[in-house]
Amino acid sequence: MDDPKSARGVMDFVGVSRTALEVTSLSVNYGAIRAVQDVSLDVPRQGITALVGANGAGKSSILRALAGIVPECHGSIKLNGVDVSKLPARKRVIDHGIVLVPEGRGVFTTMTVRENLELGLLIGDRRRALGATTTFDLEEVYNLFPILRERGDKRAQYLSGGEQQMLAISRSLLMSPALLLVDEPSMGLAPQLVRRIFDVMSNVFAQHKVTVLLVEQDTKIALEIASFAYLLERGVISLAAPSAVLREDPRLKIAYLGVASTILSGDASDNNRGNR
Amino acid sequence: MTPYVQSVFTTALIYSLVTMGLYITLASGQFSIAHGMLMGIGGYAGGIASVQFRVPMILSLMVGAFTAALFGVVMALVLRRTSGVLLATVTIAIGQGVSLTAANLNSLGGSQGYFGIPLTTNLAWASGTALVGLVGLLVFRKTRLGLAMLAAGRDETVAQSIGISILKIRIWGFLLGGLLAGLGGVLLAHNNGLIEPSDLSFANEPLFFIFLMVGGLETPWGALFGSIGVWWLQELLRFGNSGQFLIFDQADRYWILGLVMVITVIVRPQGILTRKPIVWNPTRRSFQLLGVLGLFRGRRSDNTS
Amino acid sequence: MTYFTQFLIDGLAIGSLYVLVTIGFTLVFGVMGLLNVAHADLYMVAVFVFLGVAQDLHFGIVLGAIAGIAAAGLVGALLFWQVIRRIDRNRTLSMFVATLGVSYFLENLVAKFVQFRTEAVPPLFQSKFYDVSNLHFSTGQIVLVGSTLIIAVGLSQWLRRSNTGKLMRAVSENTHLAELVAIDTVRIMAIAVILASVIAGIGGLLVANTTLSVNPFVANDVSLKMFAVAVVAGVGSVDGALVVGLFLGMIESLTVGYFGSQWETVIGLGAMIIVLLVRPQGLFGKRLRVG
Repeated sequence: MDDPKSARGVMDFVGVSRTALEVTSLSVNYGAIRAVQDVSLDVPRQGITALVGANGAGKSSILRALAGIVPECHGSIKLNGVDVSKLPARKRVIDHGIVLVPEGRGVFTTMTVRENLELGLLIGDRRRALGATTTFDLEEVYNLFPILRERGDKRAQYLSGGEQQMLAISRSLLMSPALLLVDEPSMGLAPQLVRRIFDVMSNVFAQHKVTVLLVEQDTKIALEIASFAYLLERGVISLAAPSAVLREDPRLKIAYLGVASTILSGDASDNNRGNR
Repeated sequence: MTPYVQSVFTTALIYSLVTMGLYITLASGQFSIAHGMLMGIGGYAGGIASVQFRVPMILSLMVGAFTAALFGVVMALVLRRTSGVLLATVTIAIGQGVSLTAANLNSLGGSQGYFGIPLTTNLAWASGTALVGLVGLLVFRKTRLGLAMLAAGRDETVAQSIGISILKIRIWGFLLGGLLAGLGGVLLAHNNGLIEPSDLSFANEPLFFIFLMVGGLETPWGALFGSIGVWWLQELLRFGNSGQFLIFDQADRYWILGLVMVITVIVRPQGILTRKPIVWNPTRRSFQLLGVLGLFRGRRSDNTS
Repeated sequence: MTYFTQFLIDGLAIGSLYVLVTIGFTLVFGVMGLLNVAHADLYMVAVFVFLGVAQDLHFGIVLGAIAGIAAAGLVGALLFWQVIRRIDRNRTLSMFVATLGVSYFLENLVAKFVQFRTEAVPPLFQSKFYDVSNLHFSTGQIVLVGSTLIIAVGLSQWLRRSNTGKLMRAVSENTHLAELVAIDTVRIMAIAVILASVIAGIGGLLVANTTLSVNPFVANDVSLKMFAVAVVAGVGSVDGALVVGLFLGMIESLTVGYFGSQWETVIGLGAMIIVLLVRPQGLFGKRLRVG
C-alpha cells in the first residue's frame, strides 16, 4: 500500500496546483471502531474528484467528517486555506459553503418540492450575502430538472427515487456551495436513471464551476465524470491518480475483490480496530 | 426502634416494591409509567379480598399482585403496536383515566376510597415482601429470560436480531412491573386502612421516579436504597416546620424533591447509586451544578449549535 | 333538543381548553420528540401569576394577564435552556424524568404559596350571559371558543407559510437532515417550546375566565385529556388537535349530560385505545409531522 503522503505527490505531478480542499491525516472513529485512518487528500477547485472503493471502505465517513456530522474525528480540514475542522456543521455550510448531498433520499418527504427548494434558497441567500460566488436561482434549477417545476406542489414523498435525488442535488445547488460533497447518488436507482443524473451533474458542475467531491460505489461511471480519483481501502487511501489512469489500473479491481475476501475471512475488523 | 422510625421504614419499603416494579419495566426497555395505577389496582384487589372474603394477608398479597400483573399483561397486549415516548404518553393517560374512573365508581367507595381494610401491614410484612421482591429480581436477572430482557432494554434491534421476541419481553416487563407494584399496593392499603382513587393517580409517579433516579437505574438495589434514602430525606425535611435545623417548612419538601430529581437527571442521568464508579471532579461538577441553578453556563461537549 | 344543543355549547368551551393545551404539547412533541409532562403546568403557572399580579399586587387585570402569559413563556424558556438542553437528546427516559421533575417542582412550589388550596380567579372582563330560546351562553365562552379557533388556525397557517414555520416542519421531520441544510435546530426547538408555553399560558387565562377557579394540581387532569387528544389526532398534528379536541369536548359534555359523570374520562381513553389499535399514527398523523 502506498504511503498516504504520496497522494499529494501525484497531485503535484499532474500539475493541479489550485487546491480547494486540503485534508491532512483525517481519522474517524465510531466508538472503538476506526472507520477512517490517517487519510490525506486534495480536491482541486472547479472540478469533480471521485472517491471510490468497496462497501464499508469508509468513503461516506470521510464525507460526513468533512460536513462535520461524525461524533469523533481528528486531523485538519482546510477549505481555501482556512481550517474548518473545529467548526460545527452549520457554520461549515453557512460560512464556508461545504454542502453535503446525503446518501439515500436526502429530502424532506412531508414537505412539498417547492418547500424543499426554498429551504436551500434560505441558506443560499445568506451565503450570497456573505459573498458566495457559485449562485443558482430557482429558474436555473427548474431548467435543469423541469420535472421539479411540474411537481412543485406535490409532497416529496410522492416523487420517484430519481426525482428525489434530483431534488436533493437541486436544493444543495441553491445553497451556493463552495464545495459540494455528493454521497452515492446512484444508490437504489435504475441504471438508465443513474446515467441521466450523472450526465446532468457533470454538465452542471462543469458549466457552473462547482467544486465537487463525489463518493460512488459504481466506479465505472464515477471515473467517467471525475478528473481525478482516490481509491479507498479499509479506511486508507491506497491509490491516487487521474481517473483515466486509475481506470486502467489492475489494483482497482483487486481492491474490490480484496476487501470482499478479507471481510469473508473475518480479519477486517481486527485491522480496523483503533488503539484505544 | 421507635414506632415512628418503624412506620417510616415500612412506608419506604412499600414504595421500594413499586419502584422495583418501575425498575424492571424500564430495564426491559418498556417505556411504561403507569406503576402508580398498578399499585392502586393491587391495593383495591387486596383490600377487597381482605374485607369481603376475610382472607389472610398472604393471600391478599397474592390476589393483589396477580390482579395488577394481569392488568399489566392486558395493557402490554393492547398496546403492542405502540412504543417509545408514545407508549409513555398512553400509559400515563390510562393511569390517570383509571384513577378518575375509580373516583366515580360507587362500588369501590367513590372518591372517598375503599376503607375498613384491616391494618395488617407492619415492618415485618413490609421488609419480608421487599426482600422477596429484591431477591426475586436479583435471581431473575441471572435467568435466560432476565438476561434477554436486559439485552432488549439496552438495544431492542440487536436483541431482535439474535432471536429475542420483543412482544414476549414486553409482556414480561409489564407483568413483573405489575406484580411488584401490586404487592406494594396491597401493603399500602393494609398500612393506611384504605385505598383511594388518588393512590392510582399519575400524581404519585414522580415520587417513584425520584426514588429510582436517586437510587440508580442499573440494579434493583437502586430502587431499594433510593426509596429508603429519599423517604427519610423528606421525613427530615418535614421537621423543618419547627424551624430547628432547616430554613424550610414542611410544605417545601415536595418541590425540593422535584428539584433534586431535575438536578440528578442532568448531573448524573444513570442515578446516584450505580455500579459505575463516581469520578469526582470537583470543579467541573460544581460548575455543572451551578449551571443547573442558572448561575453559570457550564461547558458542554456538543458541536451542534 | 334544547338540552342537546346546550351540551354541545358547553362541550365546545371544554374542548377549547383541550385544544389550547394540546396544540403546544403536540408541536413540541413533533419538533423534538419530547414528552413534556410539565406542559400543562404552564397553564396553571400563567393563571397563578395572573392572580398574584392582578389581585395581590393590585396591578390590574391587563398587566396581570400580560405577566401571566410572559411567565408561562419564561418558564418554558428556562425549561428549554436550563433543563432540556443539558440532557443528551437521545436519552428519552432522562428527558421525560426531567420534565416530570419540573412538573412536580412547579406544582408543589405554587401549591406551597397558596397552601394547597383551590383559588378563585377574577374574570378578565365582565361576562354577559345570554339566554336565547332557553340556551345559555356567555361572552366568556364565545371569546374562549373564538380565540381558540384563531390561535389554532393561526398556528397551523404559520407553520405552513412562514419561513420559521417551514424550518420547524423540516426539523420535525428529520433533525439530522435539517442540520445538513444548516438549520439552527436548537433555535427552532427553543422557538417551539416557548411558543407552546405562551399558547398554554393564554389558554390558562381564557379558561380560568370561564371556570373562575384554579388549583395547583389542575395539570394532572388536563394532561390526561391533552395526551388523549394528541394521540387520537396524531402526534405533531395541530389541525388534528383542533378537530379532535373540540370533538372530544362535545362528546364528553353529551355523555356526562345523558349518562352521568362517571363516564366522562372513559370516552377519551376508549377513543385513544381504539385509535392506537387501528391506526397507531393517529387520525391525522403522518408519522412525526407538524402542520
